[in-house]
Formats: sequence, C-alpha cells, structure tokens
Amino acid sequence: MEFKGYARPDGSVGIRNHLLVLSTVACANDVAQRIAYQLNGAVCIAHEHGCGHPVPRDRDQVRRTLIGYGSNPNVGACIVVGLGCESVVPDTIADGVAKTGKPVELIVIQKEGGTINAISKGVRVGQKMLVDLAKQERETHDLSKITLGLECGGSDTTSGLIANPALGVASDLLIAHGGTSILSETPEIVGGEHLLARRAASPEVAQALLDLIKRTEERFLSIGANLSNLAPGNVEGGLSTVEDKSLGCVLKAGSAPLQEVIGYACKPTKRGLIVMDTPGYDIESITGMVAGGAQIVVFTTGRGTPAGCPIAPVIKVTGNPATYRNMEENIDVNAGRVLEDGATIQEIGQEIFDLIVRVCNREMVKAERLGYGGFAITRAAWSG
Amino acid sequence: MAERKSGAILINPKDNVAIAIAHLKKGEKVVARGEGVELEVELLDAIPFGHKFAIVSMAPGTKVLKYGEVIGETTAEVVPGQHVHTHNIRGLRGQLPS
Repeated sequence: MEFKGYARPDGSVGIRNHLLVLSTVACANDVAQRIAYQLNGAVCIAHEHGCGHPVPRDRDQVRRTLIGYGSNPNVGACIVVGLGCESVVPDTIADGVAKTGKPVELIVIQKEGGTINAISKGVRVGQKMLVDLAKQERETHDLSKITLGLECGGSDTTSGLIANPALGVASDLLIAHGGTSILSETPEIVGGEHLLARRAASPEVAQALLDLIKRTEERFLSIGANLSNLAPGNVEGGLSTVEDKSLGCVLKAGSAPLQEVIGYACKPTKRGLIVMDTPGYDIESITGMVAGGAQIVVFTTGRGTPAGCPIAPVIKVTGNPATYRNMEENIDVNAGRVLEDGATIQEIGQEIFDLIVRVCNREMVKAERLGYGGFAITRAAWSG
Repeated sequence: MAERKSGAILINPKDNVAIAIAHLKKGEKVVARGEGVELEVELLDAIPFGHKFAIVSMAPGTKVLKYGEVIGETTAEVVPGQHVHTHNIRGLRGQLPS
C-alpha cells in the first residue's frame, strides 16, 4: 500500500514538511520563539533543558532527543538556536540533524553578538528555507516507510476493553504492510510484559524486555513510589491496579512479534513491533517516539485529552462514548460505537488504519487543526 | 422471549470479575456476557460505568483475574455482586510493603 509523502535525503519519508526552529537550551528559547514567530508556519521547540546536566547520561538523553526531533522525517528544514556556552553544545545538535542531509542552519547567540543579530539572521535564513520547502512536492512511497507511535493516556476501563484492542488491529495492519509500531510507557507494561515477551522475535529480545521491566519496577520501589498509585482519573474510570492498567495498555501492540527493545528517543534498527522505554507521562512519551522517528502517533484515551505534537499528527481515539460526546472537538475516532452501535473491534481497527493512511496523505487530525503542540523530555533518572 | 439487555462484559471466561458497561444500580439483576458465557448476578453495590464486580466468592488473598490474567489480589472477603476496586484489591507488582 502506498501514500504520498516528502522524500528526505536519508531515505526517510515525511508526512508533513515543517520548518523547525529548535532551541538547544532554555537561555535561547526567546530568540528561537521570535524567529519562529516571524516565519509563517514555522514550528518552534522551546524547552527547559540544555544546560545544568551534571549527569552525563541526562545530558546525552537531551542531546539525543533534540537531534532526533530535528531528524524526524516530518521536518523538512531546521534552524538550531543555541546560546553558546551550554552543556548540550549547539554544534553537536546542528551536526547531528545535518547527518540526515536536510538543510540545517545554526544560530549561536553569543557568536552573533546578541539577541537582535541572532533573530535577524534566523529570520533571514528561515525565509529562504520556507521558499525551498514550499517547492517540494509529495511523491508516492510505500507504507513500510511509516513508523507509528502507540500512546495511551487518561486511561479508563474502555481503553483496555475497546480503544487499545482496536489500535492493536490497526498496528498489526501497518506491520503487515511492512511498517513499524512503537509501544511506549514502560511503567504501563509492568504486569503485562509476559504477554509481549512470549512473542519476542528471539530469547535475547524477550530478556531485554524483562530486564527493562525489572529495572523499572525496582527503581520505583527504591524511591518509595508505588506503581499502583494510579492517576485519580484512572481510578475513577474503573482501573484498580497497575496490572489492570498495563494488561489493557499492551493491547495497543496487537499481536505482532516483538522485534526490538530500545532506549528513550533512540531510533529503531528493526521494522515491526518495537518497545521504547518511555515514562507513563504522555507528552514525554510522545516526544521520545517522535525523536525516534515516528511520523504519526495514535493516542487512545478514556477520560479525554487534547494532546498533540508540534511536528507529528496525533490521532485521538476513545472507547468511551460519553468522553467522545464530551470532547468531540479533540477526539478523531469514537471507538465507543462498539458499546452503543454494535460496531466491532475489528471494524474500528480498520477505521483507525484507514485514517492513518489518509493522515499520512495529508488529512489533518483534530489536534493539528486546533494547533496543539506539546514537548517534554524525560530525565535520564527515569529511564531504564 | 426478548433478548435481555447485557449490562456487563466478561472479558475472558477465566475471569472472576465482570465489567459494567452502564451505570448499574444496587439490587439490579445484571447479565454479564462473555464468549459462550452468560450469567446473571444480583448487584450488592452500585457499579459505575467501567468498574468491576465479583461474579464468584473470593476469600482474602484470592488472585483477581481480568483478561484471563492476574490484576492483583483481594484484601478482604468478596462475594458475587460486590464492587471490586481499590478498597478490596491490591496490585502485586511494584507495590511497596504495606
């Protein structure tokens, strides 16, 4: 099956064609935002990281995430904006993104001689980038080029009962077409890991998953955190324990064999079903998967969420018909029709898959129409 | 005879809890349906949409099964028709000693 997307020099294919203005440190956020403000359609990533990372692993995770974000196939060109003295060295981010072959410009505030010069240079280079991006046309590509991020949040009982199994059907269909799906949120695999390990492509992959889950469980306990302390909305929605939540969560991964277990914001080296170690916090989890190359995300929710991603379409699905009625402007698919209109999980799964293909082709999801972003990097202390 | 409206789902035949798919009232007789299974339970508690109730008696320390998998264990005696939630079950994973 095919879709029309933007070919990148590294062989990847974007389903959007963003100009990304990427701040490397909180000190450069204002300049990055002003550059993006002046450039029609540019997306700005401003964040709280980039310096003051005494733990090298934490600094490396920020660097990997920023490079991954700039390298995402949905980014057609990138302006990296740094201060100049930060621990996440701006040149390393620009060089990392430039390895994809896409146009990258680096603006360093200290080198440019202050705010005004830096903004001026950024706007000038960005104008040219916008002109070049507008000339690019979509071409036909195989669906095997697509990496889908699987996310769930604000879960309730309907997530595991309806929305996640339906997303599992869609994920299996994408994988059957040669694509890749990333299952995320490690703490929400605890209690359901045996089901994934059982279908691992090799004993080593199974062991990697079991080891990751063990480390995660031990880390929570070591800091006095109880994994079954679910969010109030989860409990109100009928979920009682972490196992209850996890056994529903892992259904997003359908029935495909598990090919690989990777770290936060790392790029999969295999196709098919991948587990990425991300936290249960939705925005950090989506950021990690998109930094790992996911061009599109499907997000199931029971309680309802407006969440989106600045550079990737996020399709929202709920299995709770009342939630759909309550937040229809934010949710794309009403899987609650299984309860009210006799639709089947299989039918909803096919509907999600068809929507994925249409969105790859350019259809806008509700989070895009409402201009929803959301960017957050998890600290390495929380990664397995 | 008209088909009785099902107010609850039994996800897996091994499960000892059913899931309310409507707001169910205390004292209501509700039919829980699963694959090839259908059973009627009289509710001893009101069960909100999406919440669980017991379909069999469980002594304290009994493994609670949903999706045919363990989601925790009971911390009190539970009888059929009773609400099963954080007040009478606890997770077994990532759980600090109480």
